[in-house]
Amino acid sequence: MTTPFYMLYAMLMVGGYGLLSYRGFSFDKYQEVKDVPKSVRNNPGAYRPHYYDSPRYTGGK
Amino acid sequence: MSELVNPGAAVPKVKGLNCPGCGAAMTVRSLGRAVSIVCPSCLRVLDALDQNHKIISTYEGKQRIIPVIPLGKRGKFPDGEFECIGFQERKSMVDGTVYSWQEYLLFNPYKGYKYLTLYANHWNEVKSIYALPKEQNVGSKPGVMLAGQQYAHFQAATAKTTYIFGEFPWQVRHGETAHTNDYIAPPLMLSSETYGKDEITWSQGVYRPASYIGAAFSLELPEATGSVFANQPNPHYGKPSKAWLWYLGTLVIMVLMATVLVGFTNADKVFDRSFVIDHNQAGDKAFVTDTFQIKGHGTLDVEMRATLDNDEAFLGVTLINEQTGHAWEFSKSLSYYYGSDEDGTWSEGKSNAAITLSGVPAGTYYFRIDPDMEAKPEAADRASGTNYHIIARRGGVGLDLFWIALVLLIIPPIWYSIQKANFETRRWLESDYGPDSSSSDSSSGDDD
Repeated sequence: MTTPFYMLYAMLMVGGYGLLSYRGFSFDKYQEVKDVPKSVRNNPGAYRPHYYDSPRYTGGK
Repeated sequence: MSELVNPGAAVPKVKGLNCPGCGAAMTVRSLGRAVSIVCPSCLRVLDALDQNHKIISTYEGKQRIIPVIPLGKRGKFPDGEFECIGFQERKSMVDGTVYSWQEYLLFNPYKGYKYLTLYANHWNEVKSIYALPKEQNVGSKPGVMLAGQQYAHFQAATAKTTYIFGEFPWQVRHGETAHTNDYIAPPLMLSSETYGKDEITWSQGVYRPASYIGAAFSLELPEATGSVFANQPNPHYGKPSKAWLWYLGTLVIMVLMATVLVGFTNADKVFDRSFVIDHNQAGDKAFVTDTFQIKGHGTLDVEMRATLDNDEAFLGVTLINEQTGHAWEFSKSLSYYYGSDEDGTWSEGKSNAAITLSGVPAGTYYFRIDPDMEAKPEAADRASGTNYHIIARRGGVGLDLFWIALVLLIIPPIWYSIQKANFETRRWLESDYGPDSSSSDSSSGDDD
């Protein structure tokens, strides 16, 4: 029982490590968007991005 | 205790008789081999070799025990069909605790005798042996060696026969005591029983799951749960070593992969520009940068730095692939405040931030940057512009994932090792070598 389970587990780890290392891995929050219109280049102000909330610092002692 | 039947000897016969004590009808199933017969009605032990079946001992107790395997019940084993012809309950006291177990005597006219022992739903199939095991330590424990197999000493006790009925090929008596020593090599167990000073018998048991015994006798027997028997096979045996072997093999592969991935990674800087937020500019400040090339495939690390003086800036950034329109959108709020008060100087916030984007393929890219700063009418000394800097690097393959994967990989071998060790700890807790065991001395159990 151990060998098949651990074999699968180990293969998953190795495969996952290889895939994530190749593709890159990040814990950071960001938004991926497909097909951003080419008009952004000419009119950047008209584009409305989908930012993750990034709270503005309102501090200062 | 018994010996195998000579195949050439006459087959024992079945005979009916009456108990001389109570007159109850009895059936002797191993006539010619039985030495003692116990009346199922009054539990008197009779001499089977005596023509008048004289009474050897009487049962003083009141409790009646119903055996799990009824006398006369036949069970099919790989070595033949055996009939249950005798039953005894025995007790021992170890460290103030009375342990009782049952022993079933099985008989096959051609194969001879064997025994089944039952304790807390743990079964052993036992046969007498005639070879004398040699004393030999097993690690730090005393032990014996038989047929190349080492057996570690487990427990010494004085067993007292507290209940018997059926028929036996030796002279049984109510209250008979024997000094016992158990040696284990799971699933095997060697047991010695010493009667008086000289008579020593050895038997070898094999641990059997209840399902095995149940299948042999067509009985539904409960499986042992919760306790670990002396020679119960460790269900985790072999798992840790296999898992550790797999771990080592996987570790080698992972190291090779990490070497290749880290060695061939391309961590070039692909973008490095400074900008200014013009506080005099009214309205939308969003703009796009020039295009730049990203090679290879992987992560992109983007670092943002601003020159802040008790101020804050908000940067909305979109990385856009010029050809495909695939974009990565993120925002960062940068702030840096400092000053002094009665507690001394202080500072808060960070004027820089970084983000890692994953799965960024090769291509031509540009940034759309949307900088913003809060209007501060009172900040007359605020410079007309705030500088900020954006640097993008093709992310290298770090070792973070490697270490995470190694930690995840080592969990199963450690888990299996703990499980196996835990089982062995529970096994030896019941032995003379457990932490609470005062000595290997023991005394006999109580009468009923």
